[in-house]
Parts: sequence; C-alpha cells; structure tokens
Amino acid sequence: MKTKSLFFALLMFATTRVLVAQEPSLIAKQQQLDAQWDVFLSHWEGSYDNNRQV
Amino acid sequence: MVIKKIELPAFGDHVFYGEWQAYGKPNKVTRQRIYNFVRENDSTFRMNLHIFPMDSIFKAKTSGAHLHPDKLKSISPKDMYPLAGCDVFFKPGQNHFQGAMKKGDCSFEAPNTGTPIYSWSQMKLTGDTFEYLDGWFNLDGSIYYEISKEWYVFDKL
Repeated sequence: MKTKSLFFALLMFATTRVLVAQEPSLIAKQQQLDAQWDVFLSHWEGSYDNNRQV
Repeated sequence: MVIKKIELPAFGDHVFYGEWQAYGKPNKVTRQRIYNFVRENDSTFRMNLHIFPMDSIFKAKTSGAHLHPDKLKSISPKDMYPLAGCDVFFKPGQNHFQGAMKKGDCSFEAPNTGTPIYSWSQMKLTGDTFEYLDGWFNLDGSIYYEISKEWYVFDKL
C-alpha cells in the first residue's frame, strides 16, 4: 500500500513538473496565434489602388 | 477600392465595409461588400461576405459608408443578396494569408440561362496587397464563364 501511494505521489510530482515546464511555451504559442489573427484583421483595412493584372 | 472596419454587430464581431469604384471615377461605385471575419480555429479564418442588393436607391443611401458609417446602421444581413456557401476560408502562410471558397459550395443559377453553376474565388492577402481570382463553373468543373485568367492585384496606398 505504501509503495503504491509513493508511486502515485511521484507520478503526480513528475506530471506537475512537466506541465509547469511546458506552460510558458504553450502560452507563447497561443500569443503567437492570437497575434496572427490580429495581423490578418489589420491587413484588410486601407485604401487600394485600382487593380492591375499580373 | 476602400476597406474600412466598422461597428455593425448585426453582421458579427469583426466587420468591414468594402467599396469599389470605377477606374478613374472615384464617385462611381461599382461594388459594395460587407465582410465579417470569424476565427474558426487557430489556423482557419473565415470571411463571411455579403453583397449589397442591386437597388439604386439602396446604393445611393449607402455609398460612401467608409466615410459615414452611420449610413449602414439600420441594415442587417436580411437586406443583403443571399450568398449561402460563398464564405472564403483563409490559412496563414509565410507573410501572407491564402483563401478560397469551398469548391462547388457557392452555387446558383446563371443569369439569363438558368444553368446551375458555382462560383469559385481564391484570394491572397499581405500587408501591401489584396489579390483575387475567380470564375464561374459548371457542376462538372468545366469553365462556364472565366472572369479572369490572371490574378487581380490591388496595391495598398
């Protein structure tokens, strides 16, 4: 029983460590994706010259 | 062509008004559009587009709305020409966004002939240009009416 409890405690500890380590990169990735959406919206607005065909 | 962000909650959260003028005649409006953009997910951005009805009184009332957005305050999607299946789906690329309609979804009957056809538009957006290419196709994919062989390119001023 003690061994089982110790195993789960270690597993929880390891999982938490991994999640904490990953969190900054996940946040950075989400910020990057949010910025991409903002760029997409900002690109639309403006005055354009008459079209030219290429 | 002018594209201006406007507040028009009846159409959505990210709404833009587009007005196209005839070459060399800025007072002659040839096209009016409302674009609402929806973030489908992190890599797909949907353009829900609305075409104004071909009604000269409506056109006169709403032209120049990029300068006077109040001209649009009483309109809703119900006032627009219906365009089911004509949304354009954009994917982020390297310094650009590439978009296209879902092939075959923007279907309707051709004016005059009544032939069942579909429109297919492709678009490309960068910080400096907006480009598009479109055409009308028979349901088997053959060309019904080719609007252009080449991409139209609009440079931002």
